[in-house]
Amino acid sequence: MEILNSLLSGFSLALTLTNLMWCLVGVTLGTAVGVLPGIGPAVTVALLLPVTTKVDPSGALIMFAGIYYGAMYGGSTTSILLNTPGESATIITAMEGNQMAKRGRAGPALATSAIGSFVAGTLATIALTFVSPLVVDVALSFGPPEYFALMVLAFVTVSAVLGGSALRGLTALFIGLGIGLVGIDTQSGTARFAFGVPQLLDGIEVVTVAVGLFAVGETLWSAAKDYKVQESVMQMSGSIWMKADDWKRSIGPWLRGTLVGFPFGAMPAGGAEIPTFISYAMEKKLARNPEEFGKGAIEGVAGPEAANNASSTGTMTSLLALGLPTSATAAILLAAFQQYGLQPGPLLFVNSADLVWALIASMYIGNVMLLVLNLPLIGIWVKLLKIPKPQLYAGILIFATLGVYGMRQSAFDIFLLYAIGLLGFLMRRYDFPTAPVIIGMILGPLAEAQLRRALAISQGDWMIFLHKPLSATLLAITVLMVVGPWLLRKLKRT
Amino acid sequence: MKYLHQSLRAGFIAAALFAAASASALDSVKFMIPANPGGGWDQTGRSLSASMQKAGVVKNVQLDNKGGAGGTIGLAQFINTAKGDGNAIMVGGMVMVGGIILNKSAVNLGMVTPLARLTGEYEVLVVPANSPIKTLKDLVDKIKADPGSVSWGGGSAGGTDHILAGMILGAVGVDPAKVNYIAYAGGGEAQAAILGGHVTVGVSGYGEFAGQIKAGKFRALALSSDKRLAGIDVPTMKELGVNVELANWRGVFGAPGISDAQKKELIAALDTTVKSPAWREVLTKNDWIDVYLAGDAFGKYVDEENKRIGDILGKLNLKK
Amino acid sequence: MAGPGTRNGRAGQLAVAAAVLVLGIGMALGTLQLPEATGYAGVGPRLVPAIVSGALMLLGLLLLKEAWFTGFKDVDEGAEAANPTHWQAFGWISGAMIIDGILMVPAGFVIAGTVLFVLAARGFGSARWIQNAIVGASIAALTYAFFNYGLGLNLPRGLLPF
Repeated sequence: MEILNSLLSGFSLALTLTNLMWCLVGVTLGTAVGVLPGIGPAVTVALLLPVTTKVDPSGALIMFAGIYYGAMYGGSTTSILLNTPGESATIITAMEGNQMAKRGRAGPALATSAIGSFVAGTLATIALTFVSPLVVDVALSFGPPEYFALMVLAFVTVSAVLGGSALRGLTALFIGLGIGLVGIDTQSGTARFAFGVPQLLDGIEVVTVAVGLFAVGETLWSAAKDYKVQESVMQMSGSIWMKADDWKRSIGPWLRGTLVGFPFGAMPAGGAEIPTFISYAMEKKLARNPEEFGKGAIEGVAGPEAANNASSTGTMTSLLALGLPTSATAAILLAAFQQYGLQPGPLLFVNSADLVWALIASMYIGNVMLLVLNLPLIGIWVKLLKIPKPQLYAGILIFATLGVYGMRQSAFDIFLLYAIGLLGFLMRRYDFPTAPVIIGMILGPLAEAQLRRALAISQGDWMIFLHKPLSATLLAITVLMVVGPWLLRKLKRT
Repeated sequence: MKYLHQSLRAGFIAAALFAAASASALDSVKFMIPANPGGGWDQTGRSLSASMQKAGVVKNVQLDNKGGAGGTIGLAQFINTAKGDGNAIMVGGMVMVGGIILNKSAVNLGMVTPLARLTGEYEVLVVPANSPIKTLKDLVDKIKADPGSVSWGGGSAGGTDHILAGMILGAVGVDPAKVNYIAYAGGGEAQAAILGGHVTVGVSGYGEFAGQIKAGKFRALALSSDKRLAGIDVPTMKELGVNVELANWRGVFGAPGISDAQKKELIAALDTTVKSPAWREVLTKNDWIDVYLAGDAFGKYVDEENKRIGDILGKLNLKK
Repeated sequence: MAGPGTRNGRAGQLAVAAAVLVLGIGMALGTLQLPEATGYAGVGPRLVPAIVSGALMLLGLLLLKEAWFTGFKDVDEGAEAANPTHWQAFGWISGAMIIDGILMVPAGFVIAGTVLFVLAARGFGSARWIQNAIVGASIAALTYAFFNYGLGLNLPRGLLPF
């Protein structure tokens, strides 16, 4: 009851005209930077910090939080329409959502991601309100051995995207793992596969690879192989809104995606990408017609989109309850708290209860605003697809180069983008799946770092993974998932 | 006659002063920030440029972010494009000194013109509140008994935190290469590992851990400052008998090959800025400690840091 | 039915498989250059590169075998041959991106983006140079304005005065 009272007083503060305005400014700006590749919520908040010193703290923080979760709504738009993911958390959305768009179902794809984001954002905010201390405790119990076990489990999800040939799928995965190795090794400081090029020392950005493989690779393919097809790329067919069947197929993935995404966001090394992989793999396993995956299955958009939104709210949990920044944006939000003389950390709830509860209340309001803002936009976005093919693809390339240049201000990355586009063209020509490259690139470095941290702490004792109950359980689940189906088949046969 | 002479002289001085003042208001200054938006150097560059404008020493500023490789990519570009430009300033600091050595960079800070050290932050050692380690002495005893059993959680390998851990081992007579250092990418991840008890001891800038320390979740063992800091009830390593001192400083550099006059002009502008209320406000708000040191003294300091940090990185087997 | 085709028709497949093998070998050689520095973990920066290069070499060999004997599974070289690659279009797009990379810093984002747009649209067969230049310049200028004046994040200004 105490929580409800606090929440109510939070609403009374968040519902003032000024704060409502800041919330609207935040979510609108968030949607805009989410749509534009190359500029994420972290950079936006960082750039706005100096100009908001005169704004009242609760207003400013409400706006910043709005930018954060608003970007998650907007990020899916370019992924679905242009196959150009602006954030690494929407790469899976690009895979399945763009396939839907190609089949004339851009409207339902955008709708399920907007509504899914709303459902996930709201449910996750409810979880943040009532169970955050519990979630945070669980998150803290994850140390390097547990994280490593979790990464191993996540690798199993790659089987969902291997495609027709396991041989080529695994090749793609290992190429991704190889790309992930480029740059300075986090644990030893050794440069690996950088060939003395300073731009490679910090590694290759996941977004650069995703945009290269998807957007640039596809542009090259479309120009060189579908030269004769001259009409606009994607014909709209049917309604731009979701039909009854779409709703039925989306609700389950929204809820499951939220369930996966929220705890991952609260975990300091969870990230927003892994829950989208897991949600995708899970939906493919549970779907009535898994063969539709890879060709535009709505479940494959609904689940991952809910997961990435829930994870951004999960991040707020650790930030508010413990003062722990578990993502780049959260780190900037923390700096914003400091700018206003608020001491982030466990005492925030005690010392600045009003402000924290107003912020939480504003998240409920912001999610409603985003839904109201995004649904009508769908009608405008799908019109983009009517642009003739030459201008549409030329525009995609401008945004693709803007995206990779904007991230690191480096012309080198544009050449890298083109090289990866060539790789994407070749992979498409010989039917190699591209998603495993991304999964390998994201999971590889995380798994390696956690493995070596765990072994350093145990001073070289590999048994640490089995001594810790949580990591042992996770590894057992992984083994079951890999060996289980094969074992079942064997048993049935005998 | 004498009177006339005096007033003429006064007028002349006033004119000279006026000329000096207008000359010191630089038209436009280009800032090179060798990091992506959001980090410490970016905040330093943005706050400093705003303060310079407010203090009236600069009319227009232009900021250019060029992150990567410990700042060496931005440094290389600054050296190549700003040569001889008296209106160019680059932000840098201790992390760049380490980055140049670690990345075997082809460019170094000897190629630019040191202008001034601006701010510093001291490092703090912490353990989780429920740790059996109560004091720095407990920690030192454990290190001496078995250095491998003490895992240090902090920032990237070869960074300030790693360097401090190595220095502490060296100061208590243990080979710095024996440090069991666990590198974390972000402050949040390292804090969580310390809170969850997954590493023995945490090391980072005081500001990063201040919240957890004040909330009683972390016990602060010692600070890396030379003397106690006002308002912070944590002993220094020196007073506890571990002779280590380290500051993560940030400063600004001018372009290569600028004339003495250009250098003096920039330093004069900085002198005025650091005394301005705008900059004082920036310092308090960010909890930055003022360690202003300008000109040749700063140049000498950079040289010393270069030698000291190169030395410890060598002992940590990180300098190849 | 994916026609296996002749081995001649599979020269591309063999080349791709060989490239994977060469990548694996190259990474293995690179791995040998890395320091042993294992520290307390017992494993250092070499472990994962060793695994990845080993796996790539093995996968390269298996791909070579598949390409040589049966051709890649489900890759229809006959259909590919019937729809040849339009290398001219490929060239326009490639040129567009490379020139964009070259122009980005010296000429600025707006000019580079306009050139990129015009050349890429030409790759798709649209030779309405002036119209495309106007559209491309507007898109680039709008994003430039939003980044530079709205957010204070500087995209290269280049030759333009503002």
